[in-house]
Amino acid sequence: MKTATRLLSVLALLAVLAGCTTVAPAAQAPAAEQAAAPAANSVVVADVERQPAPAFDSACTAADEGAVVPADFTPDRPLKIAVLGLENNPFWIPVKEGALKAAEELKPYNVTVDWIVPGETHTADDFSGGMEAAIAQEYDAIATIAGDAGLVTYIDRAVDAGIPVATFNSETAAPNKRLFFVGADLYKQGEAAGKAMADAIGGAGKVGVITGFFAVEAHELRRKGFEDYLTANNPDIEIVAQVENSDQGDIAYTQAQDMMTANPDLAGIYVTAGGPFGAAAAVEDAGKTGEVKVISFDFVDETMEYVQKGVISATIGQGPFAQGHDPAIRLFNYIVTGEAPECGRLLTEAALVTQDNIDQYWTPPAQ
Amino acid sequence: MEQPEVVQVGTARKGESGGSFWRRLLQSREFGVFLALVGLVILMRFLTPYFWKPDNIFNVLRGMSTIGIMAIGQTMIIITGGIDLSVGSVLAASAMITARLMYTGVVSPWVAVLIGLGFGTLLGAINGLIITRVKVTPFIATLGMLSIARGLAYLLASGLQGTVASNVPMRDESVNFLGAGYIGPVPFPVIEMFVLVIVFSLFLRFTVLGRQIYAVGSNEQAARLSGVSSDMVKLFVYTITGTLAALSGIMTAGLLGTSATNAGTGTELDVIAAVVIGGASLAGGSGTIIGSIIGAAIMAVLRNAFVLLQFPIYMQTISIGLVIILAVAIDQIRRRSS
Repeated sequence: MKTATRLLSVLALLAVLAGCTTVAPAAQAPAAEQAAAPAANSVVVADVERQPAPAFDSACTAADEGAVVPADFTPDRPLKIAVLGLENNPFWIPVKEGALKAAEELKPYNVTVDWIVPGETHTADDFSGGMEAAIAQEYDAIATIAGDAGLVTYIDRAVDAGIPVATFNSETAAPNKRLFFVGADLYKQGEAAGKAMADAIGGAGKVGVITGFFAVEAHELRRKGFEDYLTANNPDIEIVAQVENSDQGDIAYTQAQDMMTANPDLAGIYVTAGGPFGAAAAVEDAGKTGEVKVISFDFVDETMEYVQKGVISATIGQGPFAQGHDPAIRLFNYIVTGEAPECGRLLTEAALVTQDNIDQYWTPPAQ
Repeated sequence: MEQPEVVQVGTARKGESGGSFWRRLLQSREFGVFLALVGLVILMRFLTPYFWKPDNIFNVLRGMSTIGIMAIGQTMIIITGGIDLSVGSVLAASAMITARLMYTGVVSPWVAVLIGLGFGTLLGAINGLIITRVKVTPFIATLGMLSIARGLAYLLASGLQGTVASNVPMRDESVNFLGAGYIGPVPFPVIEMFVLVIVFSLFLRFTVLGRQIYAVGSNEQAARLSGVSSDMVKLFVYTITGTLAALSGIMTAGLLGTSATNAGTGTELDVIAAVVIGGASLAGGSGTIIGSIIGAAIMAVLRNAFVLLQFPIYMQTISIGLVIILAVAIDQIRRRSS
């Protein structure tokens, strides 16, 4: 409330001071009228005083996650925001939907949001090029996936050039100058999976872990979060195997079979990354549905079908829509109001989907 | 001229000359690798009661079946002195076109399978043509195909609507039998693998084309001088490897009831490792399919051991590397001493 009042007075002052430059917003008025948005206050982007970025590793959950609305100010010039994403698997469908929704919401404010796919992997190999191109094309703000530390230089370069940057989905451990991050805390997701497993198997028994790659930090955080949660809270659960499946379903199938062979009393299988449907298929083929509980991540069709069948007991989400939607909106708000988000990491909700609540999260694909 | 003699040496390795059958068997590289496998199996049997159970043995065999089937083609390529890095991607692209056609229902399921096999064959043939006609080295040509075929898999999965998809369902029971079926207690993929191993082993040993594959690998120039069309031989091995990769892809998708864009990622290295462990030389001219299958089995037993014996996680990655080096090193030492 207080900030809003202060902000309004600042803006009023700015409007008076910059009276002569209001020509530009006036020229854009017809565009704003075409769209259904209410008449907005105009603001001179160059004059907005920007707050410093919140502490890099401060974390909180945003109350308006996935539903944050644009601040009601029309900038004095058209703005363009780049969202650098991926499309290499269906996880990204809702992320892209989020970005497109943000584009639609920002259009009345004379803002274009471009969804750009710079490559096939999370790494700096692909995203450094995407960042460079976005800087060269003079985007006013950039939202990007930051899969590894190689991206730090590029993020800092953009920010030094006056382009605010937000990261989403994955984040470098090394601090950089980004304004905020929208995504899951992977370690906490692992802990949530540990709790889901403990609940599913009644707090005791043998479980196996199938992780994507020992070399991928995100997978390791989910694996360790799971392990640490069980060590701390459920001493009667024993982890009897930990293997990597390179995110592949057929390898997970063989590994799940091997786990059930070595442990006829196996109670659960935890898949940290890709290919959980392979483990689920092995459990189903072995006739052990309900006996061996599978816990996995994300809401892709193959996973959801096994949740519906009861083979996968629970799958954990990470707010993919918000990851695509919120960065663009919050960056816009920062540009027009100067207000930075409360904390550096805006952690998305780890929704737990089971057979009971699957209808809220998934409808089977047509055909 | 010296060169024709070299051809003689190359082709005679599998020929009738020298020693008794048993002596040749004992000296053969495959026998050394076979002993390593037997040793590993005995060790496993001793270490865990779960290993030597029919179910587990069949699981291990099924788990290695697609690697084994691709290793058949890779062995022939490596004998010619070439290499194919694209098998994992060709696997994914072929499976994807099959699944896509089945899903959209434009053709009947088995026609889709034939088109999928044809697609893999075509990609293999393109490898062969680029290598023989354009004279691009096999490493580079197939490295390019590794990327192209993976991209095709993405494209086929996403379809024309431009949506993102990593998986396309494949739900025809009769087709899925190729990857998921059982005949009695025996997984059908295991039967497919053994039939192909026998057919191609006989082919390599007893047909003219089979012998020419060794000749080209031993000394290509000499083989050409003695009337072998080395380009035809090479085109053949890359093409047939494409077909085998496509079959592996359809089997993988059939097992899971879904075709994944990332299926077979990195598999080329497992396939090449199996062939090298099995005694083939990357320099060309030597190697057998049986050896490669034993190589694939050693890796499969090792991966089974990771789970059965609860290997510490980082030891898993290290041990795969150690086994590859050890298998080849032991063979080198054994040969030098004999």
